[in-house]
Amino acid sequence: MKILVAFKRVIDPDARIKLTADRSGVDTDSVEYKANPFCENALEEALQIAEEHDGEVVLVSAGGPDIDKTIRAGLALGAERAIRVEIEDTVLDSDLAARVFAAVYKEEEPDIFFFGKQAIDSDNNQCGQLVAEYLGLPQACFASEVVIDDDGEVATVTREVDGGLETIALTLPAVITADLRLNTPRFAKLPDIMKAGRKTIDVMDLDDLDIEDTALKIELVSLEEPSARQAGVKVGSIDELVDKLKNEARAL
Amino acid sequence: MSEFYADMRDIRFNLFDFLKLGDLKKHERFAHADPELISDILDMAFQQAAEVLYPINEIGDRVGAKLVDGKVVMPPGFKEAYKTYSESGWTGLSVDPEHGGQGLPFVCHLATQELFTAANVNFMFTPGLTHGAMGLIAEFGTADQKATYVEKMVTGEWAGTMCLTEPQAGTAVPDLKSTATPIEGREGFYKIKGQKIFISSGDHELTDNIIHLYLARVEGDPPGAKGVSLFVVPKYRVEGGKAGAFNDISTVALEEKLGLHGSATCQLSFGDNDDCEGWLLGGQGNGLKCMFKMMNEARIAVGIQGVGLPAFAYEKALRYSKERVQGSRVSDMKKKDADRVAIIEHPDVRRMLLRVKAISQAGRAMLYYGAYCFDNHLVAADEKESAHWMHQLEILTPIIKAWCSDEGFNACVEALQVFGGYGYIKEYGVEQLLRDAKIASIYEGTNGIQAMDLLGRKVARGGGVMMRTMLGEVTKFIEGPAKEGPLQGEVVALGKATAALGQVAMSFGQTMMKGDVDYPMMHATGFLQMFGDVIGSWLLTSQATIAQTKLDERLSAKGIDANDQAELTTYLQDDADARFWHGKVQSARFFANQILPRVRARAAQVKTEDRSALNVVF
Ligand SMILES: Cc1cc2nc3c(=O)[nH]c(=O)nc-3n(C[C@H](O)[C@H](O)[C@H](O)COP(=O)(O)OP(=O)(O)OC[C@H]3O[C@@H](n4cnc5c(N)ncnc54)[C@H](O)[C@@H]3O)c2cc1C
Ligand SMILES: Cc1cc2nc3c(=O)[nH]c(=O)nc-3n(C[C@H](O)[C@H](O)[C@H](O)COP(=O)(O)OP(=O)(O)OC[C@H]3O[C@@H](n4cnc5c(N)ncnc54)[C@H](O)[C@@H]3O)c2cc1C
Repeated sequence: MKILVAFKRVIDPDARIKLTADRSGVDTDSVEYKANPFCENALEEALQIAEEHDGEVVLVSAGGPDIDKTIRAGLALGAERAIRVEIEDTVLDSDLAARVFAAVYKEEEPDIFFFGKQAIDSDNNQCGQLVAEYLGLPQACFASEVVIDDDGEVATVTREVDGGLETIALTLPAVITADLRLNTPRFAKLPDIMKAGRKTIDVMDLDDLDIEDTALKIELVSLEEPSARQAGVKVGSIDELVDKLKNEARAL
Repeated sequence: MSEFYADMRDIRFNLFDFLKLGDLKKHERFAHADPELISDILDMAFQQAAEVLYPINEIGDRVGAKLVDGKVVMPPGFKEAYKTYSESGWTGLSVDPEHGGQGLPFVCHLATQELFTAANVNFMFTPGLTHGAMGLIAEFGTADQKATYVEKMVTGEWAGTMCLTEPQAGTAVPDLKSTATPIEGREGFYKIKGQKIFISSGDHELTDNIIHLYLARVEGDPPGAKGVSLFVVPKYRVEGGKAGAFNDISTVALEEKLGLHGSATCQLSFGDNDDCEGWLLGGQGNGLKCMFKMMNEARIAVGIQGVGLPAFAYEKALRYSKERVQGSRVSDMKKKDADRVAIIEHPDVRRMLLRVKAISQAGRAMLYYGAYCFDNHLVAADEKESAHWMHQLEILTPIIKAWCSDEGFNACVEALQVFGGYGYIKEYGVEQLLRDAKIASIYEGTNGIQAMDLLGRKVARGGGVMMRTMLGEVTKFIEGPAKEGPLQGEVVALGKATAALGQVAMSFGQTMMKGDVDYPMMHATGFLQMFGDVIGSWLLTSQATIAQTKLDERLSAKGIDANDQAELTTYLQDDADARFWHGKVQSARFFANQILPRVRARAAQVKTEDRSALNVVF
């Protein structure tokens, strides 16, 4: 069984970020990066399935050589190899990312294509869905449990939906996106970190992939810092609180 | 629960910008030591420190290790964390690949250990002692002994201890009473009998077996150091590579202590039923010699505690001081309704914070430099080069051990002070760091003994070659380009302090030649502190020159006027790299101007020839 996992690098969520002077993006001079937590859940699930079904896990990511560090962290956890599609981070929207991943899917033909349900930088929650659509594959998003049958033909996925949990069965190949409660990602082992440096990261150019439409569908107009938080007020009683919520905040 | 923080930028700066670890790659032994790889490893270490070790730190302190029905029960979560830690392979980081390790530089091992120690020093006793005990077997063991123990200890499957101390034999290890009697027909095996006290991780249920490295005297051997031999004494005898029959070792008691509640400090009784077997290691009568060979590594490892704990205390104090609002600016004193400000605005609090930071950074620089000397000696091209590194390491060892542990403890006291009453209570965990930090000045040779080792042995040995080599490095810096650079004032101060240190060493030499050893030895601790201050200031100032260059480049790239303090301050708030480099320069300045003057004060103390402490009748 072959499992492809989309693995994205994001700015460390704990870092204090600032915008560039022209507000066209985030100033990345001294920010630190991490793997997107949802992608880590996706990878962990892929590794567990691969261990059980004697499979191979392949990472795929899009970006410049500076994302290799994050890819290596994924390789150290147990993925066998990785594919990096050379593309400038800043010229990627969810749609183009999805077209890129769909093209990689065609090259690799995996049984399962795992994604994180969303990336915590732009929080779009679109990539997995779009890929499934472009490839005409069944999809199960927000997975909190995945069971693959013995023959490796059907995935039974429990999804976290608004009303509770929904369990569906999909015929493989399929797209699955991971939620945080799916599993607890493992820690890398030192010998595996050492080996990760020797694993291959195949670099593909956008031109190598047969993508018809490479146009961006989203135009970034400008970025704004969140406005500073207003000082709060102390209320004297619960009645006063309720009154303020009702009449001032109009929240009730 | 609070979070774990560490100054990863400073750790990386030490390794990559200052020590230029990448250069070690040119040696075959370290050809695999890619800076990129090491940086990845540091990230992993931080993650495990934060997510595996720190979450069980407080409970380790509160619940503590307990003796239940003669067996030690470790605090909740320790067993699971030990499994993760061992399986991750941390113990083998710098261990020879021949023994199942990764063969990376020792300094990388230290950097990861600093993070683990800061996150949970109690937990780290078991892996730390296992590393030490394994090292002894790997170095002195026969092929058989190595095959039996080393790999199992590198993987953490079995743990280790060091059994030296007995009630009447603390500092004076050779006064031990433990005995070993040859077992007839089994070459190398002995019946062991004796009482050991204060044995860290002496018993626990984290592993299937515990391998004690045990000092005893073979029956009939002479008293004193020459009659001390080293034995491998497993809790369970090894049969077919597995833990087998019980080896007659019982845990009599656990000590109750100031700190380290999560570390089991055991009183152990060996051979109560005359059924405890030990395997001689390193030859009869060589026990102390073997121990001494591992001393540099072990003492440097203690320095880790004197760096990791205050460094974390600093991180906690820094965050607290930004949140705690109390009083208004002194400059607003006359204003009615002056704004209440966070305590980080108060000059006295800033002084405390920078002091803790400067001490931690100086300790780290010293610790890593010492380990780097060790790594370089391993790959030296010839004897001369090897000696160049070893001489520095030898003289730095007692300084790293004692200076870092004393100054580190004091820095924890100061970090606690930043919290006011909230530091004294348990809520922020800084009082635990303070309690846990104290031990480092006591074991592995008390700091008094380190000072005597420095002054009595290291300074004088070989006609003073170690001191000359070490101060030669310092002088190279003082007389180099830095004396014209932006830190020239600090470089001059360092020059004066170094001269004062040299003069005091000379005067002690003369006093000792006249047959008076008491007077210099009374000042041994002060002398060690002087030496440590000089080394600390040397390292911080050299680092600051590198940081200043990087800062200047960044500021000019961004068009920031470094002379406009307001503009600079605003800029630094948003650029973490630049803030770090700027901070390095301030640490170095603070150290040279606020701490280093102690050196000359101490020199003046020595000059007084005051003998009150020797003459007093208590
Ligand atoms: C928490 C803890 C963990 C420990 N873990 C271990 C362990 O794992 N294994 C182990 O073997 N031991 C361990 N020890 C023991 C530790 O190494 C000893 O406590 C230490 O060696 C000091 O010995 P002592 O306590 O008998 O003090 P003493 O030797 O009685 O020293 C008391 C004081 O006298 C000074 N002094 C003693 N002799 C001299 C001298 N000749 N010249 C000048 N000053 C002198 C000392 O500097 C000290 O200030 C541990 C101790 C503690 C508290
Ligand atoms: C065990 C214990 C017993 C106590 N008993 C009593 C008691 O019986 N009665 C009672 O009323 N209180 C008691 N206290 C409270 C104690 O007096 C306060 O903790 C103390 O006054 C410090 O205040 P704080 O803890 O709020 O620290 P903070 O005032 O927040 O101080 C934190 C740090 O900031 C510094 N700082 C604060 N303001 C300034 C400033 N303007 N300029 C420069 N530096 C500043 C302080 O020096 C300190 O280092 C007790 C506290 C403890 C821990």
